[in-house]
Amino acid sequence: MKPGLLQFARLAGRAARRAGVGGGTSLPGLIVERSEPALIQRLAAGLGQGVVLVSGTNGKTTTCRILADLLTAAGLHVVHNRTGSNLMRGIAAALVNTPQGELGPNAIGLFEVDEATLPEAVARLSPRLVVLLNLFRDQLDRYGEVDAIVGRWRAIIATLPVQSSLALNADDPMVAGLGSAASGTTVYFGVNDPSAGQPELEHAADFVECLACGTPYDYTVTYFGHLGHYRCPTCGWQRPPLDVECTTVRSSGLAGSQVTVQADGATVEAGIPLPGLYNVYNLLGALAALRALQLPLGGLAGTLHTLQPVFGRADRVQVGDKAIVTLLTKNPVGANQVLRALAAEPGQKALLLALNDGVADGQDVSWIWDVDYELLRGQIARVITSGRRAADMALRLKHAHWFEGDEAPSLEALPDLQHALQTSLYQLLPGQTLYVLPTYTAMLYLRDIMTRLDMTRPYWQEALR
Amino acid sequence: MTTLRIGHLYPRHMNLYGDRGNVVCLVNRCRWRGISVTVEAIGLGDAIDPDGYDLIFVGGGPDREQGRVADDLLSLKADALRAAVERQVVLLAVCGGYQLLGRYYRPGDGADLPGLGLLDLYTEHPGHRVHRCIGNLTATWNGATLVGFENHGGRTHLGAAATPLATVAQGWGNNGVDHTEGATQGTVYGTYLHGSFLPKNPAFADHLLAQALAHAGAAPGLLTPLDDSIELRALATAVRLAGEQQSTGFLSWKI
Repeated sequence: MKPGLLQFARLAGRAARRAGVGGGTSLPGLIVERSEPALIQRLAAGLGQGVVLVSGTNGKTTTCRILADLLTAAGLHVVHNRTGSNLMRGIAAALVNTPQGELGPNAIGLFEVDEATLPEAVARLSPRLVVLLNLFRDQLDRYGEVDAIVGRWRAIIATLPVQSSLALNADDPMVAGLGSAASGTTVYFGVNDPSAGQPELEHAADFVECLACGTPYDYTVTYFGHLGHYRCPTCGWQRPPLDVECTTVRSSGLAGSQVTVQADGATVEAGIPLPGLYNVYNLLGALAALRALQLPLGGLAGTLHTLQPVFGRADRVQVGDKAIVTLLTKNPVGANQVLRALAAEPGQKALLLALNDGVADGQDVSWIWDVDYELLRGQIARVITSGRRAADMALRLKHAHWFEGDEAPSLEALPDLQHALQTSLYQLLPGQTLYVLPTYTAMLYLRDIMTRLDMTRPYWQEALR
Repeated sequence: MTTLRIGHLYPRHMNLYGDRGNVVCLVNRCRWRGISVTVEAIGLGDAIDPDGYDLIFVGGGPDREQGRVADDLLSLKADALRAAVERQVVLLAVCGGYQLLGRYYRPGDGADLPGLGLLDLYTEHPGHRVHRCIGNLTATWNGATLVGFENHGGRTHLGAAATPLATVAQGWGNNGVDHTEGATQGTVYGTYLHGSFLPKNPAFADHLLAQALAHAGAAPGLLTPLDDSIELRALATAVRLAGEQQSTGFLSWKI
C-alpha cells in the first residue's frame, strides 16, 4: 500500500464535505479506486463476517437499511454504504471511511450495488451472500434491456463458490430463475397473500416468459410489475417454494403495513412503518438475508417497529404546521406502487412532481407514459410539476385527466425546484401535507434545498451518524 | 356520428419505452374535441380485419421479442395489413415496429428477419461493438420541429419508394449519416422517436388524425384547435435540451 493513501482519501472526503462539495461521500472511494484498486480487497478481508451484496432495480437502499438495523441488533458491526452511493467507488468509500479498529471478527460488510456493477462487485469482494430483490425496466438508455442484465447476473452467479449463498425473490421469475445457476444454498422469499394482489398485470409489467422453454407464464396472482404467482403452462416450471413467506399483508396506506412472516417454522408478526407492498418485499429480502446468514429471526418485531424511512422513501419532515412527505419515483413499477399507496390515503392531496433527465435518472423520460397516474385522478387538490422536464410531467398529467372537471386543479409547471417547493408549501393550509414525488437527482437536489432552508439535516451527516 | 377506430398492435410485447403514450394521446385529442374513439388491442395470434381500423399503431419492443413478433406479423397479419394500407388506413410504427415494416432487419448476430415491406427500407445492426444511437433528437418536418428520444442499435437506409419523414437537426436519426429521420410511404409512417412521440408533437398527431378521420368518413373540420400550450412548452424544452446535449457530446453506450 502507498503510505498514507488511506488517510489522504479520508481527509479528502472530510475536506470536500466541509467545503460543501456535495456530500463528498464517494470521493475517498474514487481516490482509492483510481490509485490502488487492490486496497478494497485487502480492506474487505478485514470483515470477519464476510460481505453481503444487495442488488435489484427497486428497494436496495431500504432493504440495506432494514438489514443493517437487524444485523446491528444481532450484535454485529455493520460496514455499510448507507448513502446509497452504490457503484464500486461508493463501496470503496464505505470501507475507507471505516476506522481500522472497527474491522475484525465481528464486522460484516453490507453493500447495496447498482445492477450493472454487481458482476464487478461479486468478482472483487467474494461475497458470502448475494440478495437479489427484483428486475424491472429502468433507465433503458443506461442499463439496456432487462434481459441483458439477467444474462450478466447469471454468468457471475455461476462463478460463486458453494460456500456463498443467495437470497432470491421467488415472486420475480427473472430473479428466481437465477437459483439454478448457483452451487450454494438459495433462500427464496415471497408473498402468499392473494388479497394483496391486483386483478391483472399493469402496463409497466415487463413481458416475462419461461426461462426454460420461452412460453409466456400463466399468473394466478399478480402483485405489481411482473411479480406474482406464475407457472409455465408448457414445461411446468413455476415459482419455487418459499423459505421466507409472508402469509398476510394488511396495508395502512402511507403509514405502513402489518405483516405475518413464516420462516423455519417460526412466525413473526410485525408492523413496518414503510408504505406499500414494495416495502414488504424489502423487509422479506432482509429477513431472507438473515436466514441465509443463519442468524435467528426471533425478537425482530421490536427492531422493525423502530425503522426509520430513508430520505426520499416516504420520510416525513415537519415544517412548522405543515408536513412534507417525499416519495422517490424513478421507474414505472416503483412509481405505480407509490401512486397506489397515495390513492389509499383519504382526502384531496397536494402534490409536487419533479422530473429530471440526468444520467442517474435516465435521460429518456418516456417511462412516465407507462406510469398509471390516472390512479389519482379526482384526488388532487393542487399540483405543481418541476425539474428539467416539468413540462413533460405536466403534459403526462394532462393526459391522465388531472386537470379536467369542476374541482380540478390548474396546471402549473415551475422548473426551478426551490421555487416549486416554496410555492407548494405556501399554498398548503396549516395541518396539510405536501407529497413530493421526485426522480433520483431531483430527490438529491430537494434534499440540498431542504437542508439549506433548515428543514432537514444533510444526508452525509445521517450517513455518519 | 363518426367513431375513430384505433388498433393497437402488440401492446404487451411492443411497449418498451412508454410508446403507449402515443395511443393515449390520439384518444385524448379525439375526446377533447368530442370525437368518439375506440381502441382495440391486437396481440400475438390475433387476426386483423383490414376494414376494422382507421389507424393502427405499433411501438418498439425488446430485441428478444423482435423475432417472435416478426414471425407473427408475416404469418398472420401481413396480407391484412397490406390490404388495410392500400385502403388508406393510417399506420404509425415506432422504433422496433418501424424496423419490422421495412424489407428486412439484419441483427448484429444471427439470421436476417424479413419485414413486411410496407416501407421501402432496410435496417442493419452494426454489432454490439459499435455505439447505439441514443439521445434527444430534433428534426424538421414540413417546416415544423419534431422532438423525441431515440435509442436504437440498427441503422436504417431508405429506398426510392420511401420518403424521409424529417430532416435531423440534432441527433442520429435513421443511420447517423444521411440526416434523415423516419420514413413515410402513402399512409404508412415510421419513426425512431420515443418520448412518447405524439404527445409532444401535437401537430404531427393531428396530421395523422386528419387522415384517419378521412378514412373513417368524417366530415372535414372536426379537428378544432386545442389549447396546446403545455405541449409546445414540452417541445421547446426538448429542443433546448437537445441543443445542450449537442454541445456536451453524445452519450456513447455499448451493450
